[in-house]
Amino acid sequence: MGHRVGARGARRPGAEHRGSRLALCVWWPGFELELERARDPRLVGRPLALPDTSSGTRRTIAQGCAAARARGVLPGMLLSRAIASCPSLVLCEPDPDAYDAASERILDLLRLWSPIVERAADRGRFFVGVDGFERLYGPPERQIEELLERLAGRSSWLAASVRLGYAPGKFAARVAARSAPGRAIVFPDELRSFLAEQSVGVLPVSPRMIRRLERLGIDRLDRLVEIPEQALVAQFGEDGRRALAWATGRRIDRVHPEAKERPVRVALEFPVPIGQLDMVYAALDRLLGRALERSRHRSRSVRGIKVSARLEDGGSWSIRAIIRDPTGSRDRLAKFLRSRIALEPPPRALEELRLEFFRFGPASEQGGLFAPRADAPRVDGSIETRDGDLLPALEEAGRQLRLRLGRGVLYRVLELQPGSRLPERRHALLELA
Amino acid sequence: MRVAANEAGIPTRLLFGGERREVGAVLDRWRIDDEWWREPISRVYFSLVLEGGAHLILYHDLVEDLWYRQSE
Repeated sequence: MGHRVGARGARRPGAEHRGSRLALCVWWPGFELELERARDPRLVGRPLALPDTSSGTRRTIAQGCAAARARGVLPGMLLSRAIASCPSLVLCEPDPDAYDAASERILDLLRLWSPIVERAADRGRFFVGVDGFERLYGPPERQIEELLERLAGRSSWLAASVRLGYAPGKFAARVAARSAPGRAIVFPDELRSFLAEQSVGVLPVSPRMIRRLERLGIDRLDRLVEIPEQALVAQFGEDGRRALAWATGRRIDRVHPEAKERPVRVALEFPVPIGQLDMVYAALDRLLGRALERSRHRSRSVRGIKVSARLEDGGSWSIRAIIRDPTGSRDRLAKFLRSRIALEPPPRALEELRLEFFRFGPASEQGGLFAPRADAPRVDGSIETRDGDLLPALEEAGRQLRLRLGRGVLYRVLELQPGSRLPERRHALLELA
Repeated sequence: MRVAANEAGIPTRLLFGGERREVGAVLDRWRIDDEWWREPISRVYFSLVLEGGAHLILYHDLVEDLWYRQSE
């Protein structure tokens, strides 16, 4: 029963793999626009918005600051309508590279404070595991003071505009952070009453379900928890069950540390800006070849990939993707990236194209990656080998068995995510070639 | 995998190795909820001893409402 590390895994040593139950949500609302203001003080006090570049046409608003929203500028609105509603609106050139770089710096800063830091899917929101911090810093108020001092030490803006939510689990911490400006602390014994006061809009379920709940007159979580679970499941399926678990505080999502990978970055600068997609694809193929050749990652497949570019006349463009089936194949990566770029093409000609592998998966199934190295060292007196090496005798035995039985019977145990709570993600069996 | 469970969701009988087997004892039970912000994972695991002594670990996938055997 070596893989029993579920919700009751507290009995198991090595609890650091299981994340933190107490969570601190660290959130900068309007992160991108606030960064723009921090970069250019002339923008302070003016209504700002970022156009949506995902369609490549930039005809709609992606997000607006509070001042813009107060003047009727809303996400999804046509640019022409937004400018008509708010003639003084300033449209910022999106610079996703700069936003991501700022996120990374904040992550590094938070990691100095806690070993358990996880970033949310949206930029500007992070979860910090604070289990055991009482013994280090005292009560939650003091812990928050400590963090604010660290943020202020880096930048007064970071400390001044952050919202903090302290609660058991990420969901409640997230809700706490958005419930009030500044900070909100929810102690474990207050969790249920705190959640009861919240609107159903805080639930991480589909907008359709939220709309249906509101139409049924269920606008707050205290009303939701009065409904029998069977009725919710009958109406909303599994979403209904999950919503109830969150609303009652039964479901606590721990903060899990995000492993810091050393990224592989390659770039290509163009003497003359290039605008045609065919040329971008050709440049990308070259970059993929260079990045995959980096020897330290030859035995890994690529899971997270980012393509970015410096644009002619300023600004940047980027796409960032997590690949469902990690691969080390240049052709598959190229095909994947082309399909993504076709959906979100760069809006202008490129001066520089950059490629980054920022997350890696298990060793790829592609041929060659597990090829034994002729110069691989062996440990005398044992059968220990380095990753990717096969003892010749074992290799020969595998070949003989396959010939006799018509199928492979020898497997390599491959470590994937040894700390995962899900047993099947920890190791995989890979048939010996 | 086909599993019959009681009202509390605890497996009582299952089709194992092509034949119906009664659950002799539930040694342990635990739950994993994860990744609600991505593709939610919600499972209840059971460590079981079947009548006859075979030991296995099952989980009920609450998202799909399906039962699976967890290989050890």
